[in-house]
This record gives sequence, structure tokens and C-alpha cells, in this order.
Amino acid sequence: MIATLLLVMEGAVVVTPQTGLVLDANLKQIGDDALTVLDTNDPFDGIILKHYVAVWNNTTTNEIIYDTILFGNSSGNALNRSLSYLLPDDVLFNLDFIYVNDSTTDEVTVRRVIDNGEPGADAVVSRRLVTLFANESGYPLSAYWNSTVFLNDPQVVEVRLTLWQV
Amino acid sequence: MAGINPFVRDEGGQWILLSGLIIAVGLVVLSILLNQAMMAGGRSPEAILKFPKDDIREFRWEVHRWAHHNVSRLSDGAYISNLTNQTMLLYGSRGISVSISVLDVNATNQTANLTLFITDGPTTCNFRREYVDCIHESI
Repeated sequence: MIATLLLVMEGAVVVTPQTGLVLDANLKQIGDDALTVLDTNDPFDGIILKHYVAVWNNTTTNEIIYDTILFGNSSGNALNRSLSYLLPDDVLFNLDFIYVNDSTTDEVTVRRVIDNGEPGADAVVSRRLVTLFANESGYPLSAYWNSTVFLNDPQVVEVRLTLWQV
Repeated sequence: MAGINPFVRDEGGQWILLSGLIIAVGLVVLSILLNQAMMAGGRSPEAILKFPKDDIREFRWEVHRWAHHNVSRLSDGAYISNLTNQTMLLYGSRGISVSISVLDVNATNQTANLTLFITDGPTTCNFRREYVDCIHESI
């Protein structure tokens, strides 16, 4: 009888119920993967995420104009376009740049760079750090970053990607 | 057959008892399986979401990138203090504490030894002697 019970228990296929947490974990993994692709040192494009952050000039239109071999020519917000390629169609996202404006004052600045609306209650967040150095070859800084890097050399920027499913 | 108590001879009740026992054991087994499945469904994503795997990896990775950019500058106290301050503020805004200290820097060999510490409360990670080799390590 015990042997039969063991056989039944070992042979039974138990389907793990899918909870909201499983979906959140999957979504977070998708976001982390997308940022990892952008943050990888590509032999042709370099670190694409770093290029995108470096050319951002803190304008109201949030233009990020940078052409890459991987994602092609860009106009408007290249980071938005690249993330749209990398993320599934049923996932919406917002993106913020968070940085310390002046390390002597300990002020953290949050700038919304991609705004696709209000995140749902089940939104998850993926993050990446990007460090901008003054006069780094291959990564020319925008006028805005040149002014902050003057105060903080280097300038550490957190790229915060908020994702939610629709 | 006459003279035998009919209640003693009626053995149908044993089947009812046996069926009840089988059903009871079956229910116990089923509840154990279901309980395990529920635990697996809840614990696995919870572990993914709560354990700061990406934060730890990202912090360590970024420090390596700083070293690769210019390993000699790691000996500059003001430079490290500025980087530490910015990183502490960024991680601190989400409840994570980090610290970096430079043990030694060898500008000739392009290597450095660092101590990295990151904690979010339940999880603490301490790289007591993080070795960075800017020549042989690819990032």
C-alpha cells in the first residue's frame, strides 16, 4: 500500500498554481533582461544605455538622439524606441533617470524620460546604474551632463524602468 | 443458516469502513500535494522578487567599471568618497545600504583590491576582498 502511495505521489504531475507574484517575477525578469541587453558592451555600439544617458540633455521633449547598429537610426527618444523593441507589446513602461545633482547637498533628482501613463497597481521596477565620466572617449556628454559632471566627476545615474502589463 | 445472528453475518459494513479509510488517506495525500504546490507557487516568485540579486550584481559590476575606467583614481580619497556618496544616496532611496572601501591599488599591474558591502536588511552581501584586474578581466 505504501509502495502504491509512493508511486502515485511520485508520478503525479502537480501544476503549480500561477499567482500574481509569478507574473510580477516574470515581468521583472523581462525588464532586467531588456536593460541588460542595452547595458552590455557591444563591440560596435559600445554600451548603448550609456550612450543614451550621455546624450540626454534634460529638455522638456526628452530627446535622445543616438544611432546604433543594433537599433538603427533614431529620432525623438531612441531609448523609448529600443525598449519598445525589447519589451513585449502587452507591457507598458515608464523610465526615469535618478541622480545626485550635487553630492555636497545630497539632493536626489528624478527626471521622467519616458512617460506612458500611470503604472498599474501590479507594476514592477528594474534598475541599472550608469556612470558618466568627464572627457570619456566614445561617450560625449550633453551640455546638461557637462554641467553636472563638473560638480560630480563622475556622475552616477540610476536608470529606473517601471513596467506593467495591460 | 438458522440460529446464526444475522448482524454478525452481514459483512457489507466492512466495505463501507474500508472505502472510508481509502477516501480519508486519499484526501490527506491530495491535501499534501496541493499544499506543496501552493508553497512552490508562492515561495519561488517571492524569492525572486525579495532577494536583491540584481542589485548586488549591478553594484559589484559598476564598481568594476569604475576601476576599469581609471584604476589609479581609486587611490584618490575624494574620488571614492564622491562615488560612495552618490551610490549610497541612490541605493538608500530604496532602502539599500552600500559601502565601498579601497584596500590597495596597483597602477603598474592595473589591479585593485576593494571591500564592497551591500545590505537590504534580510540579505547582506560582503565582498571582503574584491579583486579587480583591469588587463585580464573583460567587462
